[in-house]
Amino acid sequence: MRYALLYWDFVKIQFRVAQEYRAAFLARSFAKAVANGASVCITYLTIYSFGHVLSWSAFEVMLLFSMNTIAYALAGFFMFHPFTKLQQRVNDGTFDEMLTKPLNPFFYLCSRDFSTGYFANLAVGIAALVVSFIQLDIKLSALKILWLVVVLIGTGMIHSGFFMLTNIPTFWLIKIDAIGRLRSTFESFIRYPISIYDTWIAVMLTYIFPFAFVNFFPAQYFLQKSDFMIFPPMLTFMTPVVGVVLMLMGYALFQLGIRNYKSSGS
Amino acid sequence: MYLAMWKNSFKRCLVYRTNTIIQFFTSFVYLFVTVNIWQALYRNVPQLNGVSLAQMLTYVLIIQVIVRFQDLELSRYYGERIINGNVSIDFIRPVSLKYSAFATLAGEVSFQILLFSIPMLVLGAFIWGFVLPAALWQWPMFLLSALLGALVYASIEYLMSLTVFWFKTYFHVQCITGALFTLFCGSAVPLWFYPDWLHAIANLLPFRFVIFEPAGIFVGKSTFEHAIFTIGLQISWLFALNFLGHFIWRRAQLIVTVQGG
Repeated sequence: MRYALLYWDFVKIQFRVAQEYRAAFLARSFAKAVANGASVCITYLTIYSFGHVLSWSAFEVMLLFSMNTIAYALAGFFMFHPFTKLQQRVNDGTFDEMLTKPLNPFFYLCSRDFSTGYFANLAVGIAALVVSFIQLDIKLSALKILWLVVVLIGTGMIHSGFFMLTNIPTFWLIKIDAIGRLRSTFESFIRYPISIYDTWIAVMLTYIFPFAFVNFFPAQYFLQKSDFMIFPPMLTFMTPVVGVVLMLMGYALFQLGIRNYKSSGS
Repeated sequence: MYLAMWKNSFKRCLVYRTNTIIQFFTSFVYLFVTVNIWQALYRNVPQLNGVSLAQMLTYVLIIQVIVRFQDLELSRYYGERIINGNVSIDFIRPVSLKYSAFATLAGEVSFQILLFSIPMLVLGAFIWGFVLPAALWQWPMFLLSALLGALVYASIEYLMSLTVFWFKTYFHVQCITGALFTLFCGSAVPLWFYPDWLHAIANLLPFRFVIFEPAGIFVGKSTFEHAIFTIGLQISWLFALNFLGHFIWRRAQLIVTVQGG
């Protein structure tokens, strides 16, 4: 409880910053929304003239894309800055500050850097999600909407977990940019349904870099599809579990990391 | 002298070799994803709008090369120099800011194309196949139109970079022009597959001359007459954009404020 209030205080500070530079904030959000909107259009246009790819229609693929956009935005709010700035902090020694507060360092790190830069991504993602549901004529009961919210939080946790796991190695390695690039490279696979790839790639995206749980598996429950390839259909419900596991792994790695941390001093 | 700037910047790129290897891997995965989606789309479809899978893959591979022109980011070059105040030195130098920016960036782009895009193209051609142009005239016409496309792109970037004098940042303009470019240049989806109304909008904009039209000549979707016509239009756009750029540049010189000390 104490942590929740404290977190909220830090979030309020970030909102005040955004308000102070309102014109810049709005211009930036607008530019990001246009860029994200163009990506949604391109995804739709890729499928448009063919009508469908395998068993997936253009709007179904757009739904997959929107789920990933929302997931990325959710992770962006909470986890992007804390962990992308980690390398800098560890290298120049400012990470010391995290250890000197009477708080869990992990919590302090995360709460310091809530980002207000992802509202545009989130808005475009939600808009694309709603448009696809309407175009596909899918009616959601209250229970299904609740499940959708749980799934989206889970997808956000998956992306958060990846942000953590790809940035925390900075405690051992000096330069980790390459690992971050790898993350976004693997993410690019889930732009389309993973059944378009060879089975071994789908296996990799399910069990090793589980990006398939961001959209491919959970979406099939709402779309009432059964394009599960060689995988058990129950994976459609596993997104929140995968999200929690990835974040726990990230947390454990972080704990190992601070034990290994030697201040560079300054 | 601009040649020397070009050479310097080319050499500078040679230094960052590990970076290039990672970038090669990343770009290869993107290419892999793109090829996979087209192969899946074409499953059980022999051709669509007169385009076969083999032609489509050739299109995807050849634009690996010309899409590099997008790195002629004059707006970033200008933006950084205006924001950190270096532009004050550029104003008193006896060289044109526009052409030295272009020479430096062209060095980077040539490096990318020679040591990055062409190997990627060859690798892709080995894995997925590649259809060379059927007619001999397609080669010179493709090269000419790709080169003009690069100049059209640089001119668009030049116009964007002049807006930095007013807005003091290049992020937004770059983001929005980038979005328009992605939508209308045909780098992700060739304009053959666009709905008619969207294709009509794309026809009114200069973006398609950078990627779509040169690639169209290469894969043989353009007749000779159409190719000539395209090149004519590219030259007209080039004149129009540069005339506009010259006009705005004269205004920009009057309002420039130098930041930093």
